[in-house]
Amino acid sequence: MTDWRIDEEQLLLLNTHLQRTDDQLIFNMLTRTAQESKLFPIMPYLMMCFFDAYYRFPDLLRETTKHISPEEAGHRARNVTTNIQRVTSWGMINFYLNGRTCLIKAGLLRPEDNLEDLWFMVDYYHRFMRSYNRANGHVWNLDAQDIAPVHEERTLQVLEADAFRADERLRRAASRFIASGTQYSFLVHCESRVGLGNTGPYNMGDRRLMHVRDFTNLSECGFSWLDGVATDVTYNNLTLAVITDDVKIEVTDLGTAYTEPENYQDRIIGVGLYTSDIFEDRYVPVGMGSAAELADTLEQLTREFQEATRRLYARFSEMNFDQMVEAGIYTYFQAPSEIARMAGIYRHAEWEFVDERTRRFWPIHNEEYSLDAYVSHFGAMDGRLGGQSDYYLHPVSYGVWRRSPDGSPLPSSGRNASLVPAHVLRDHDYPRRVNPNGLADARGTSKLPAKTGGYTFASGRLSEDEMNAKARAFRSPLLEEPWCHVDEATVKYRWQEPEVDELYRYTQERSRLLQGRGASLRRDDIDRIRREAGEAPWREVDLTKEATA
Amino acid sequence: MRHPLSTPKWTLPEGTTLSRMTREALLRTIEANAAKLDGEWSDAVNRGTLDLLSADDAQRISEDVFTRFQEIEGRRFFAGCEIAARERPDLYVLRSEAQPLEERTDWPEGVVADGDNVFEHEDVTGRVLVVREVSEVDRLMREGVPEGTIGVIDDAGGTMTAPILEEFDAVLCLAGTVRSHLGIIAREFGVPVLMGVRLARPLEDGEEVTVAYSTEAQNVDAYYGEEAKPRAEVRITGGRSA
Repeated sequence: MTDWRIDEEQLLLLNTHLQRTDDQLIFNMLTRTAQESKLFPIMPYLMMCFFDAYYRFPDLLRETTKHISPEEAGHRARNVTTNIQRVTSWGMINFYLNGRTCLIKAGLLRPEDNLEDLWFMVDYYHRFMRSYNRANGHVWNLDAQDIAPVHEERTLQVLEADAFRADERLRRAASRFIASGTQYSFLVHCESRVGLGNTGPYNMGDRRLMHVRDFTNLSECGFSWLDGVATDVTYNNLTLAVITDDVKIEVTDLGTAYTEPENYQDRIIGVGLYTSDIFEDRYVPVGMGSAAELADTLEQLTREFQEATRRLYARFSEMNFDQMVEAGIYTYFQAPSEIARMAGIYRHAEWEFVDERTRRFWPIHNEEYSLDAYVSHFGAMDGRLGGQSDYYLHPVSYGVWRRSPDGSPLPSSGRNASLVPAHVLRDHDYPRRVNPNGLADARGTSKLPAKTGGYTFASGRLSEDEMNAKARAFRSPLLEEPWCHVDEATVKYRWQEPEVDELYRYTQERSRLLQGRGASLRRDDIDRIRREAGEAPWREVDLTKEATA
Repeated sequence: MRHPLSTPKWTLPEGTTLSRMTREALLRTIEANAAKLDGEWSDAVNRGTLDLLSADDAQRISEDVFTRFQEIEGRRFFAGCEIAARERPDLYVLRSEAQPLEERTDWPEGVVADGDNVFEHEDVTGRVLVVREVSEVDRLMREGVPEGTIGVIDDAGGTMTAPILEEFDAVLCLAGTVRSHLGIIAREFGVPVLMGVRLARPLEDGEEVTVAYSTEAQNVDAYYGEEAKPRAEVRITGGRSA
């Protein structure tokens, strides 16, 4: 047991963060999602995953901090696509806090209990996100009007320069790749969207935008149910850079891209494809030799997704209810597991079991109660322990009311966030951590077959031990001085300095058009370079004129 | 030990009968178990959490609640997923089987359903195929979806029909919103889809329907208090195929 105490500055900051997490959660739950599936028992696995996250995330993440700071994890997640991205980092904090809410409303926890864990989790998340979102300065996409411009100029210039102009075939191939990849990802992740990430949109001038679509956990990885069925999926992570003309794009805190118009596929004008993972610090081009090669590659990968979809569907069809609940729990529970892989301490056995403290809720969390409880906690915000003072207005519920027809009654005074009471500053009678003895306190079982397959990376498939050894040996100059502390605010005034120029050249090493160009490039330069390569600058691609012609 | 959460100053009613019964049973059990424990809550909350609520307690609560729930509601629990109802027919009935029909008098003649359009597309005429079970998806995976089929799916998820979705000419989904997973995927595939479809009567396999997918796409913020756009209509345009 630690003798950790919170001070007033931390407490006020913590409660502010708890409320902001509540705001975005309720907003996204009301507007962005419908929790149901005929195939997967979504609601039971969602609710019980929250308990497991509460009981184990703090200690699992605390272990990683012995090897890798939240800031370094954020740098690595920003530089390339890993499985810790917008939606999984969202899950890291939300699943934990949702578990806290569920336990408080069940009457098993006071808001001040396990306060050191709570502070650790909220602080960890914000440190990670501030680093991950270093370029845009936001923690929540909601606060950025639902955009997620994560990448920095040096990366975006490569994506812009190297993307291929989409002819009809490439546009069709990219659209089917996105559709099949999205569908396969939902199946891999038991109907959840935690394998789909999007960043952007990024300003390409005039009416053009670029957004970046990430697909993760596609091949053999941390999910045991992919062993054997996803073996032939070549890449575990794929990233599609998509340039569009006159499409409005938003990216929510759930990492999902929404477009207006909804059927935007005909407005795709440029495409690039990459892979990456925790052992890469720059995107690795995939099929980027020519537009035709890229279309061939996208078509081949789409076939891989479709075949794996059929095989995985058959595998899930053979599972019983309890196994499907467990698979769902693990899908969500593994949201922050990439950080353990980055740290070189990932042990699958620590991430794929159901804690006995969670397992006890199994009979209570039947299909209907799970849905009712979910709606109660994270939508209606009602119930015996959900009330606030009679004067309280929840900001999101009140926002809905303001848009509703005149005469509608005000929303009830419910709130999801359980703020930590101020009396903890003088009354220290609360436990600090949920597991006084660390992970040794977390015991449980699994009903899924043990994992037998490997872990897929751009550099090959590795065993768990090989992966951890490689992670511990991983070094990147992007994570070391001076480059780790060169951001766009640095570049603005120091772009002529050799160390900045070298950083850009390092990022450009695998670029087909920008190799060796350095830090001085602006959009006019990229346009010129594309023109010299016989490829149209994006500002000269005008679908409206082409349609008229 | 006194349970520290038993007398909150501010409370709200529970939203459903099941929530109320379950929460009341949980609190009663935890309060009773806490009363048997010595020491302070701060010691018991973690080390003694399985004493406050054991797996046996939870099992007993679930059985008691189910018995009383049936007495009050006169039905089994709703299940969203098929396997729950297949494995435990004593406990569950599929929610989709209990979906109420719309009693509408304001719909034009011939209109039997309407729904939120995900994206604008030309109207589609096709034959209805109702897909409600995994075994049906398995069969269609093997045999292929017949040309000209409009799939009627009661699941807004993106996985139930994953292997065959692209093969439908169009889809009517009896649940969800334009932002549900099925809506997202169908949009990516370019398969026209209505979400949250309301039926005046059940659609039957082989019936010919024409769906107004040319209707303006539903406002994605309609669920956040913004004005909803008119729903797209589904008309019966032909009898069942032979």
